[in-house]
Amino acid sequence: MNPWRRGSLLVNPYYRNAFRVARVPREAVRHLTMVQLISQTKQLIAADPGAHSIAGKPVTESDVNEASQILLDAPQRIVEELLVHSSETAPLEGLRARLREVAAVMTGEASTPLVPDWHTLLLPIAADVVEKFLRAEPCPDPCFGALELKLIPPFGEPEE
Amino acid sequence: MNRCADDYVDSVRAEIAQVLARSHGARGWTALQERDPEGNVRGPLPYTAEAADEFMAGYDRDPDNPALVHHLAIAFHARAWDLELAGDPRAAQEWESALDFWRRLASSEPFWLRLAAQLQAADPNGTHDVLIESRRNLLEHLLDIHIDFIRHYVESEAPERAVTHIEIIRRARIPPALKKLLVSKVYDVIAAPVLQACASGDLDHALMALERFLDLFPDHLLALRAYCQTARQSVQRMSYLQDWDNIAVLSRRASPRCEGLSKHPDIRDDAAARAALEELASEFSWRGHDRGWQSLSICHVVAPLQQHLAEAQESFALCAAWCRLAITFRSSGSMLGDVFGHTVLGQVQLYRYELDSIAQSSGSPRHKQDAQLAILDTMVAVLEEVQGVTQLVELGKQIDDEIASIGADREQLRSERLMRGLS
Repeated sequence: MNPWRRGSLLVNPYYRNAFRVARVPREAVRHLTMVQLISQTKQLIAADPGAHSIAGKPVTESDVNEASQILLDAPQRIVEELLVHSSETAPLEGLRARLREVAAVMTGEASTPLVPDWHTLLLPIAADVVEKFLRAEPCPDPCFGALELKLIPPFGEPEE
Repeated sequence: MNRCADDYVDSVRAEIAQVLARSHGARGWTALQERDPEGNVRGPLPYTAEAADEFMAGYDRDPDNPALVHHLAIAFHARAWDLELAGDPRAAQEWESALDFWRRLASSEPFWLRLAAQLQAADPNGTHDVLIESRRNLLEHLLDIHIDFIRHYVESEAPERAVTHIEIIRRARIPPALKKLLVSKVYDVIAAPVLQACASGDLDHALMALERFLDLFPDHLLALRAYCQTARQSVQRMSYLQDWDNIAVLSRRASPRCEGLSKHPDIRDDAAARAALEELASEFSWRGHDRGWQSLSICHVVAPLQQHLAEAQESFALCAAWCRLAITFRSSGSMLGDVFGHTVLGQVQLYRYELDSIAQSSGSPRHKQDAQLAILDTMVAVLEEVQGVTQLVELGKQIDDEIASIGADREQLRSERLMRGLS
């Protein structure tokens, strides 16, 4: 069975595929679910013939009947799937898991509490303090000899 | 083990980057949705420009993702179909892209496994035969769409658009065996009405259908053979007395096809094609021969009227042309060579009338002699062409005698001209 040759050559077969006509998602596979969805579509059309249209053309009950014959027959339905886009969702599972982990830590529920790495955190602060201290010391005059005869405090101070 | 805050930030940042990178499919899917004026989703369209761009961006990152390839196959194919129906020349490029994506899908194991899982879910007790068949026939089914368009355009007198589809298939990256199938499939769909038309006696319709096919595939030996056979049936129904105009029209119509067949590289290996060409040539040549001699006989009995001479000339020319076309393919026992020889003798008679006419004209002797010599040269040339092609011994002897006689006349005329020049 060639799904592209079911209708007239002069009608693009992708618009009025069985899934779209019957308003059945491609992911619906259970017979009962599909029957219910098809029934809902028929009710919708019965209530308002213009309620369900594809590319500006209303879908009739006859169209839905034809579509249901395809959808409720597994081999025909699977071939029809070739003409239909599968639904897509953003792959958020990993992100959600990570955020759950962070949230748990923040609320104290986590088994592995969030502990800062003190060494990495304090090292730049310590370096900054030392530099400021050194810059605050008065500078000896280099004309009177080597500066390094005596280490500048607090380094090199003899222990009391 | 404790984790530092930076690790968490980095891991969340990496996840967000992953999500963004892998969301082209989801964004494409959103862009496909048709919405009503209130913004409610009606359902997915086969393509939108934005969706196609998203799917393509995703495909560039992950070309082996079967879902993205399927999205693109649908989007390009559906857009190609719309452009085709709108008569937009961009359709060709879209068809080619779509075929390429479908070809990838045909060989994508994960795609068919996913469909198999879906089938299993829909019918747990069913077999996978339909999927195996669908996968095996996928590209051929897609080819059939182009066959349908080719037939449609051939029937609606738009051969250039049919050629576009042939070119699409020829350029497509599909197995060569499938490309070969294109020609035979097109032949089947165009030959089917031929067979019907022949059965119902509508030979003209059959010839038209074959001509349309040969416009697309001029070297198709089977079609050329069928064309000769159909044209022959058509000629057989015509009498040179009542239907000469139709014979002449059909001759002009069939000549290019038959010339194509006579020069076909494979005709030497196809006895049926050679026979078809010879038989058609025989039908035409007999009619030309008979009408030519009938007109000539009137010229012999009464004074040669210009109309009869013209009729004879036209008829012999038609006969000679068909004989030349098929003479090298004649079978043993064929009369084609004899018809040719006898026709050339008729043409020689016509040249004699022309010589007489020149002799009686009022031109200068030098110019008259030049014209007569040119005609004598032509007479010898046409007679030499049929030397050895005849089966009838007497006819062959007659041709030889004519060559000798005309050769003598020519020599005499040359001598006279030389003498005149000297004096």
